[in-house]
Amino acid sequence: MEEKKSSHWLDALSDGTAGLTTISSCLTVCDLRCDSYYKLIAAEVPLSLEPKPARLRVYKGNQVVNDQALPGFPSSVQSLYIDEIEPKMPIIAVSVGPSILFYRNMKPYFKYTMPSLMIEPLEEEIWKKLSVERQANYEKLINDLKSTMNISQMSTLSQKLISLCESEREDFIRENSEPKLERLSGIVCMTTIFKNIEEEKEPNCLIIATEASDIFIMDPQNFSILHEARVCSFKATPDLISASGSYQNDFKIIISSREGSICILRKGWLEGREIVKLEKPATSMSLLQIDQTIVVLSNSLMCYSKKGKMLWSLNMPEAVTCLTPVSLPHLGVSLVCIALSNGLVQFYSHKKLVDEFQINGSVLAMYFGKLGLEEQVLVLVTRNGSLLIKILKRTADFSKPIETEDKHEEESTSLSIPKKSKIFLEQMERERENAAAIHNIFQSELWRMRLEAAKVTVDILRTGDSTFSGDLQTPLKLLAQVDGLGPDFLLTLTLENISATKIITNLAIILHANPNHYKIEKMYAELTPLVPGIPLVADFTVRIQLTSENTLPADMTLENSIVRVLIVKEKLAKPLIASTVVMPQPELQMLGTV
Amino acid sequence: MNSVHFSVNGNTNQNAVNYTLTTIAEKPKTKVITSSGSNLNWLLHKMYLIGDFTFCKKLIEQQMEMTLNQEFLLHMKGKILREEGHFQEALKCFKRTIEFDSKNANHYKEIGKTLFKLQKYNQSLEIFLKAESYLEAPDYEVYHYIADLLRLNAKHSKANILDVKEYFRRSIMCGKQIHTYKTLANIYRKEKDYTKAIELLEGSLSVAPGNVEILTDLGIMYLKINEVDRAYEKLQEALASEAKHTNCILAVGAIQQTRNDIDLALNTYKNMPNIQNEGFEIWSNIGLCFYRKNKLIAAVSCLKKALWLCPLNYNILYNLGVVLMTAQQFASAFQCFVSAVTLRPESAESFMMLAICLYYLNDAENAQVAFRKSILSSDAIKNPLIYLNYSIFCLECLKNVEESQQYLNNFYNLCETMKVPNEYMQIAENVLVKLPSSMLLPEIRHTQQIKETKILNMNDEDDKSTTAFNDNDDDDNESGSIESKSVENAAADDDLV
Repeated sequence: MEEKKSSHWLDALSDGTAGLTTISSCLTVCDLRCDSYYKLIAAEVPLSLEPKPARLRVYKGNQVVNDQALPGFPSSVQSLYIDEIEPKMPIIAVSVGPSILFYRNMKPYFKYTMPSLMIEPLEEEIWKKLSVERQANYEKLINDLKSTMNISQMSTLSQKLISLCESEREDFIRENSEPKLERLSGIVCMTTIFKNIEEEKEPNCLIIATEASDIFIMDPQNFSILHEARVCSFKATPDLISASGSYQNDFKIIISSREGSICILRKGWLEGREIVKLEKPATSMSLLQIDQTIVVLSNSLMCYSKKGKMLWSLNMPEAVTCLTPVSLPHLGVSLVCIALSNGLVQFYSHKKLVDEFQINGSVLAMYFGKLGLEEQVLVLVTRNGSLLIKILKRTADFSKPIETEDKHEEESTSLSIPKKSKIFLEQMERERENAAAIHNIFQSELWRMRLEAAKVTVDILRTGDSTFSGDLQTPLKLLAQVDGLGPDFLLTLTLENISATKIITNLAIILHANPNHYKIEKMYAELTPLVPGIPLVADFTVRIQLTSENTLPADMTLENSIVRVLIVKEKLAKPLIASTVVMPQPELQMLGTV
Repeated sequence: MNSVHFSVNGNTNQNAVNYTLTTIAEKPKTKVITSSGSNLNWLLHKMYLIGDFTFCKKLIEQQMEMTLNQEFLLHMKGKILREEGHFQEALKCFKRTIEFDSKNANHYKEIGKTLFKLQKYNQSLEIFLKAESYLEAPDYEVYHYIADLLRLNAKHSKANILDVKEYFRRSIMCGKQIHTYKTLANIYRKEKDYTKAIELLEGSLSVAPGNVEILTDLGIMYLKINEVDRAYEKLQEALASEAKHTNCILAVGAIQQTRNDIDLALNTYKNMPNIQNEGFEIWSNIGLCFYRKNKLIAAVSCLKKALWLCPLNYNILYNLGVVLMTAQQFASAFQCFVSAVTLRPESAESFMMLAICLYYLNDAENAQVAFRKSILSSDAIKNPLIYLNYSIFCLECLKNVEESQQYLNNFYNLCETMKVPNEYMQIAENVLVKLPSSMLLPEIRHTQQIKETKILNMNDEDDKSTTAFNDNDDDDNESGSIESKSVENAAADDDLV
């Protein structure tokens, strides 16, 4: 593929050995020390699946300035301001499993674990019983537990209990004689809104979405839950989340679910509302701050209003990986940056493609915003762990859509009518003058050809007219027998291979009679391979086509009441045997009974 | 407050209770169960959407070891296997998910879809109906599949088609998926209920504004109910957003051609991408454009190409025959009309053309046979030309004044019931003048007259066939979208014309 480069971007950094694998939700940029030098914060998601702890890193340029281990796979990283004390220092929230780890000044600060989901009373009861029962009864109780509940509804403790083998159970139950049953739900994504004033560095609220389809709005100042809501009235597991507004005034949260729905949650609602149902769940989604439309990336790039009306859609040339909004207030445009799986990065202004460039490897995570001292920086992290940082040139202008390679195509768009040769034109002239003669010659030749074809057909039928096949390769003998009084007859054909050793394959029988006289139920039959010495017997029903008054067909005579039997071999034009069976006249008294 | 407070001192790694990737292999018998909150389902889903299946499979394998709650893992595994084409294995995975939650409509839905892919339609329908009974909230996919399967199952039963429509409607109500709109619109189209189809397509436009496919379909639908202006508007809108949409170009060109705007039509066709490999419709239309511009050789070339692409198309044969006749290639024209007549023995017009052809080939005897067939055909009363031509033929060739008079009367009778071009009337008057008394006029003038008239006739004929053809084109456009049945459709719609 041809390398595409864009003139709008400066390569600030291209580090193929950064060894950073992460996803978009685990990438953020903030003014960590309040020195107006924005730093990149990335939580590594160890996609190698090796038993190696995930890490939280802070980058200054390509230098890692802070690196610490995380207790599990991070699902989201957010930077947020919690109070108005100067200097304004953001805190970092990292969600791992059911907990959120807060860091202040990159020092662990607080750990918040989501409240447990409801525990079934039955489960609690069983655990109470278990602690007092004797060992012999464990089996029954555990089976009760298994049969009445889905594993997904059980607490971790019960799941562990079920997985243990019998000998270990007693100890386990004794250890947990006063069980603290807990059912935690993992955090799948987070985002922030402002608490009060919608300005940079003002205090935020954290929005948390869990796998159990709950949305929490948390005030990070005292870690209290301000509002709790369901994603939707039916099952919709959140996957992506995007929000705008402030908690005090008005806000909206857009949630994309694993089931493919996109839901909106507004201030004060206890339950979100589905606005769009996608054919395939969204790979990436964002609520654009500028015009409050929702851009969704699944098979195609789609843009929806908040009411769920599709504003436009665009098919993507390749599979897509992620999307990030690129807001350029100084140019008065808001772009959407899209990464394709083949490493192409494209920028769209509404439906128009305004810029693109190619990088090596597919992008897994993207972020656009301030970084370092620059205002407009695009951070890209690829699947194979390279970190790329590109700075937008101040001269960049995205007002013109880039030209795709249509140009030389358009030049050649004249209708290329099939050319006719000179001979054709001459023939045309000749035909114009002697149309009648040409026609007559053609017709007589046509008749001659038909005659010739008919002659050959007759010839073939005549030469094969015998009950023996003359072909040395396939010596065959055919016997025919007709049973019945009429109008139904049973025609029994016996075919024998009379060669010494050779098996004859791919044979078929064709029966042919005047359709006005006889009705043959099966006119064509493919035969099994014929072994020498063992005759093959085949029965066929032949029925006289009686008139409505139960009489014989008018033109049926003794001479023409025949059925032709042809034995043919695959890929052989000439039949091996062509024989006629003379059908007996039916008993007249039988006709009346039919 | 429910949260657990504890300060984290220095390295958070010490608190890694739940995440025990390292301890899997120690006890092979007892599984290490991770806490319910820390599964990696979200990561699995994200990577699945990106399409990194190798990673997903590795992750599933690892997670299987660590949790008893394998429902989601199996669900995803099934989906991945299905996308890779291993339907049977996928089915096994989905069946195991049911063991975890026997009342989850989603699992049944996936089984149903897999069976659908395996073309086990009856089983699939059963499963989808089961899924429907477990639905918590209306699910467009389940309804769509049920409707589709019912349609496949019961092509012949009338009662079922109502069910089919009902399910499609429900699917549209809750899902608003474009392909559901399209399928239902197609059903209505096949039933020739164009207003309903239009209603649906207009509805789908509100979901997906500017969708080229839908705009094209809608344009064609408007053509069907003869709202040419509306159709043109929709098609132009479609072309505005995608200038190289094949079907749309064809339809727009056809409309322009019907409006006698030949150069514009040709220009429209020029935009067609990859025109050399396009279907016969476009070449046939281009051929007729050239014929209108009196470029006969180009017209013959294009029509021959169309015929080569689709040798059994009646319209192409007929049109090529007309063009060849205009070029006075009667022997070739004869072949075309013979083929046309063989394809449609009931067609009165092609028999008439065949007769005229034979007349020029000096075969009056057969010409008369052909004329007779044409006149006896039930379609003969739809076209007064047939009577007029036969009347001329009787007069000219057979010298049978009475019969000539009789058919001329037939022609005048027909003229009273339908609108007939003035040229026909003039010709008829010419004939009338010669009929009883003026038989003495020189012979040669007559034949010339006939030639003229006939060529004129043919021209008019051809006008008709052009328009007819355009309609057909549109039909074919549509049937192109439902690939499997295009041939049947084309045939059925041709009859209408």
